[in-house]
Amino acid sequence: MLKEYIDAIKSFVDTTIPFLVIDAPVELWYIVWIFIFGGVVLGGAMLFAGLASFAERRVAGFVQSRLGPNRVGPEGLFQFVADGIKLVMKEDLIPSAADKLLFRAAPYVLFIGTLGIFAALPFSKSVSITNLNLGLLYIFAISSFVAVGIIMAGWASGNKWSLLGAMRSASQLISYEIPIAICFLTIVMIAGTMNMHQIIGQQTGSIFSWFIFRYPPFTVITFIVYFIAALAETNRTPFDLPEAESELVGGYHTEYSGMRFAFFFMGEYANMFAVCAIATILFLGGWLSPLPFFILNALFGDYQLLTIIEGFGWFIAKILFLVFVMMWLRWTLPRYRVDQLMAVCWKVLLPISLATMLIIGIWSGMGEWTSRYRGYGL
Amino acid sequence: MITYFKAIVVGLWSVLAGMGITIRYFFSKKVTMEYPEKRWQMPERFRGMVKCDTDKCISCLYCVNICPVSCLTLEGIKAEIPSRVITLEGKEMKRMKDVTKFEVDISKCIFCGLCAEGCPTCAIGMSDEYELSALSRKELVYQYARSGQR
Amino acid sequence: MLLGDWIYQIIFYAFVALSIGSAVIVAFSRNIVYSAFALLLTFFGVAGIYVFLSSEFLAIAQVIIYVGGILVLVLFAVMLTHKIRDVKLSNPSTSPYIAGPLVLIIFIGLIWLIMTTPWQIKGALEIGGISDIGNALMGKYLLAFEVSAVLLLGALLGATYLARKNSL
Repeated sequence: MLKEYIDAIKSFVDTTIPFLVIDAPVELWYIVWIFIFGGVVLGGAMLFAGLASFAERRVAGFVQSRLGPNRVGPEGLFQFVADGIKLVMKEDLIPSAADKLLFRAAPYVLFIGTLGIFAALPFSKSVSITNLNLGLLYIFAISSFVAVGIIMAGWASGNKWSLLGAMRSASQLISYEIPIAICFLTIVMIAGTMNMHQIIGQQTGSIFSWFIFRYPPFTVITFIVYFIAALAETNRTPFDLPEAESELVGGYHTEYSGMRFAFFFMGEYANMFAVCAIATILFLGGWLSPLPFFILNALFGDYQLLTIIEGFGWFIAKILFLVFVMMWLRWTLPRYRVDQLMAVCWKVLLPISLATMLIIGIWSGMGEWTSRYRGYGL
Repeated sequence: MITYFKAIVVGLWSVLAGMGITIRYFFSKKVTMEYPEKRWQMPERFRGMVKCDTDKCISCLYCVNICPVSCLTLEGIKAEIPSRVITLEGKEMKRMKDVTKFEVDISKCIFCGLCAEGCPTCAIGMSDEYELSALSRKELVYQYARSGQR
Repeated sequence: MLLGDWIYQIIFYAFVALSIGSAVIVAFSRNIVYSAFALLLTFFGVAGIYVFLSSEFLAIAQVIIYVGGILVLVLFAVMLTHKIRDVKLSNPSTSPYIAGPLVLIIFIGLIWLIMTTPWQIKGALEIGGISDIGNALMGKYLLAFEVSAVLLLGALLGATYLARKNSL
């Protein structure tokens, strides 16, 4: 199957960049392609993380009747550049009680889990790094590295607050993975596939064929459950116990400084982007336009490239809206207690998601059953 | 069972209500004053930096005597100076005390306003200037010579 | 040999080296936490080898279950242990002179078994093969599936019973 990707990429490169055609083996093309796309995604994720941190501070300010940072650049847009430079210039401290090797490795493990998700996201019509057939499952698998990275950071710091944060995070991530898995399963049941492109393809049509409107109101409930669980997965308020600054100083990244801290920081925001992207793909139609047509196509004619560009725009717009809702929630709600956190997961989200899965399964199965046996007097 | 669902609905509703409040604040007018560009309008009777119009001053030394922290220094000589009254022939020269040195040591001043209250010619007064920090102690001693400026 | 084959070989052997090397760390490390984290790399390397066998589902399931579930639980348990840094008895080697030859014999036996077994080589399944796996689980192997489900349910009930504050 690797061969198929490689052939596709080779033909893509041959047709789009004819002046670059060198008689290189396709695998080399594949590796070059991976590096280019990986670089683009890494850069994009970092840019998003920077802008999101800036946006978060502005949103926080606005909610609290303040203005927020607005000094660097137009309306403070380059604040993240200044912050980034500050973090790069800082000393990279490693506490003497820390486990040096694991302390150094932890940010990268966490970042693998976050960036790995981006590899399977369909950014626009037929644009993704790899078109995995098991895309959804892969995303679920690779994001488990985040938990390991957090535990590694917490333990290696040699600090009780870090360890407490890591323990909280581990229990939280393990618990909330279950409602998320059930929500994924519900969508897979409706779509009948785990391929991200095909999941979006199932939602083409009008806005009402998006999965969130498919079996009203049960998919809406599934969406809400997924969104709450995603908040917990990304350690966002009201589930930010792992880094509760009023109790645990900084949680698992208490001891980190400089660039390593920046990695945790960017990982958190990139993770936010990733879970919102998944919510967009599964429930809100991914790159599909909410209008019955694509604006650019209606204006300039039926070109594939225009669809791709506009699809990317819609995808990002939907994600940004969900990210905004996450920030909005963060500055609205206080933090849960640990027992409340677990109660919400096991006593509310899990039964509700199971029930909706069952109902949607019966509903969709009934439709199939009646259509299949209609001719037999049923 | 009913309480279970009721708790969920109430919980979700309270979250939505909270989000409604925050979004209203999100779009409301911000209270932040962007300080160096915009400033507060000081109240009329605000007591800021002591300022002296040396043209009006008659060196009566009232302010120097009443100042509880002795932050003012005033020296004057008797001299022919142009009067503030302008007649047809031009400025009338008047023999009166002329201020040669008027110093305010802001590091001592407690902004009590006693000097301004009793000034017979209303030469000394409290301005609304409040940005008085300086890099050295010397700069904190403000000098007013003739014609106002320091 | 083509350059492409070389790249395949390099990636394959990188995964092999990763899994074997980290497995060695798991076995010989004196620090139990290092063992646990090296296990992560072992699982990851084995998942990579599964991808080379074009059974992606198995690879992903490996990562989900072992990295996301079991490894995190192992770490959880390890970290709850009191004074973990002082535990030096993670891998005590007792009488290596008996164990060494024994392991060697088992190793040779396994190799011999692998070499002599007539393997059934099927063509590659449909990519991912997830629907085949689903059909097999729900059809041919339904009994095993249900029995393991009952086992898990029993474990769950047992855990709940143990966690009760005032047991019955």
